[in-house]
Amino acid sequence: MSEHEPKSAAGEPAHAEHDFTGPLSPPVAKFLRVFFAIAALLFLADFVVHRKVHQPAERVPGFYAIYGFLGCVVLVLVAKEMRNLVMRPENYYDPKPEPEPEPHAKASEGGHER
Amino acid sequence: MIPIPPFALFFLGALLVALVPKGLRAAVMLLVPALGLANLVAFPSDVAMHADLCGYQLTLFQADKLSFLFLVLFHIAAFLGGLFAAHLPHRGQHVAALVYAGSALGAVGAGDLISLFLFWEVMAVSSAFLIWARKTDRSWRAGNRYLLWQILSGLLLLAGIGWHASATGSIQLESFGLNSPGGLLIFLGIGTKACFPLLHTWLVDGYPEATPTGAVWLCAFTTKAAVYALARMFPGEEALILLGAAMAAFPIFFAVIENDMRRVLGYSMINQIGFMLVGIGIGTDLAINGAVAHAFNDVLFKGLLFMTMGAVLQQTGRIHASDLGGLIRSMPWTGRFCLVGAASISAFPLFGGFVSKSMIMAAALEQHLDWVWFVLLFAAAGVFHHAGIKIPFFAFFGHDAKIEAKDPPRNQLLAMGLAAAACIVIGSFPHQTLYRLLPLPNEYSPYDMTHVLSQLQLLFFSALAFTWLQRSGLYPPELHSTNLDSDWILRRPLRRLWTGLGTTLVEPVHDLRIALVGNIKRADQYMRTHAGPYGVMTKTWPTGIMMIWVALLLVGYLVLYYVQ
Repeated sequence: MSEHEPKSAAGEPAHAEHDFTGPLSPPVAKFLRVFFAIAALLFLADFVVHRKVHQPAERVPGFYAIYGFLGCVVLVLVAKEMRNLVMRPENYYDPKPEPEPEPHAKASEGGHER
Repeated sequence: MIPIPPFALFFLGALLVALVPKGLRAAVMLLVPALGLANLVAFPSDVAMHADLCGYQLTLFQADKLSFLFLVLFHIAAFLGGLFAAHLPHRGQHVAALVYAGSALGAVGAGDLISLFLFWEVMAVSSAFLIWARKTDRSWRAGNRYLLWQILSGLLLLAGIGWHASATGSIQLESFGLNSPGGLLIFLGIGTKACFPLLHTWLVDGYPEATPTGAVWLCAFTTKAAVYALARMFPGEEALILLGAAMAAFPIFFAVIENDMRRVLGYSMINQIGFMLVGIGIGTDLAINGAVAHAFNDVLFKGLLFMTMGAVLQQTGRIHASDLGGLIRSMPWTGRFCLVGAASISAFPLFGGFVSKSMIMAAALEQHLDWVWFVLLFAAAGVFHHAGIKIPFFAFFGHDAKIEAKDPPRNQLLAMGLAAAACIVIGSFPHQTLYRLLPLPNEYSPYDMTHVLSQLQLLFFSALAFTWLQRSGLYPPELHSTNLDSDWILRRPLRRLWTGLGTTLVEPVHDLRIALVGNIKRADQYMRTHAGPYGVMTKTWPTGIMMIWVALLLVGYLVLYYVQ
């Protein structure tokens, strides 16, 4: 999340209460509890439901759950490392700074005034 | 009713938009695709339109089941794109969009290679205007780069067609192999528009720089026309399996670290096209059906996602994940539609992607391409991660950036709503809708217990991974940055080499030029002195002098005559 940056875009201090690493607000915590419960049920369903097997790996109980979880963790961690190789400053290709339009100026994007 | 070929209707519409006053433009934009669809459905299937060019008979329009699906799709996309842009007065953008949609329809309806090439080029040029219309320095340069790639695609296609036609004398659209140079060039020409790896950068470079409404048009036509062309000319081509698997996998890494939301969608688009190419490469009935069905769904859900992100950009002036967040409070409808699009692209059961993506994966297993299946399964999990969760999470939920904004105008909400409804209807009732349009016999049914459960497990545990990575702080923060892609080679080393060559060659070239110019001047001087208007040999003399000389000659002649 963007809280890893010291300042948000508007220049205000980062909003710690919205940080996903910190304590959660009650509705979000409830949502997550429901979400974890469904995930657990889905995992357990593999032991109950008789599955049509098309690929040997599907016989492993919870194969899709494990593959999905590990796949995404690997994806994110590899992508994070990739930043060392490919990340450059935002104006890397255009060193000449362009006058940034005010974030709230409606007419800024291709003259989309309404 | 006289059947009008779809492209002609759109070109006429574009002309009309250019001529009518501001108030009527929106009506024309909406009427053209609506009338076009009615015209298309009523179009007698045996009518083809011919023209002659340099001794070749061109078939400007014909439709079979494969092209019919794409023609219907492009009409729907044009209608949604038109509706999304209907509140804008911009004549130029509207004209470019209609010409673009018309040429894409032309490319899909083209009955021979030369007609295909002609529409291919119109598509390239007209679409570039949708990027330039943003009217910033950045979009101007991005549009130029985009156009260069599109022209490269056209040139490769033209070279391939020329080679093929001179070798075989035929310009028929048929199944080509990669064995002949002509076939290979055509393959690469189409492949440039289909975003083959290393030929893909124009998409992630250009589309995010387009106008909020322009990107909605762009994401529908160019790549899907290329998918159609590959399905028509290279079905069962094994190279496509490899290329498609690579395209399904590599862009998701970029999508995870990309901050610009529309660029994330661009990478996710390459990933979806990867699925389609794998389907075309496998080449069985199920696989081809899956590929074109997925193209159909992709236009709807990717169009929907581009609309929601376009709306975010237009209403807030921001598009970077790090600057957004918490918009669900201020733009609730846009947020809801975005969630539908996200569910569809992630292939959640009952949403669009579920009924088409699985056809391709089932076909891969049927052909015992297990490694492809594993790659696609990884890509499917990754799609959910970067497009299904990241896009809505960072824009509408997550950290509240406290942006004051409101939902976009009604026509835009309606366009998003229609696209969202289409995603749900197709996902829930595929047999009554999308599967009826499929070009090949189809017996596939996506809804069985095993499939639904597997997909839900995959998606929920991908989401679990996202949650865990976020909660533990392992998730890479969204940062304002440029992520280098393969076009870096063109834009840095090769460009520097080019300018470097220029500077090292400046002096010799200058000397050569001086020497050349000096010598030419001397030669000129010489000619002027001796053969110019005052040169001894060439200056003009008065007539009188000539008379004297003639007289002298005559006198001399007389003298000689008498002396003799």
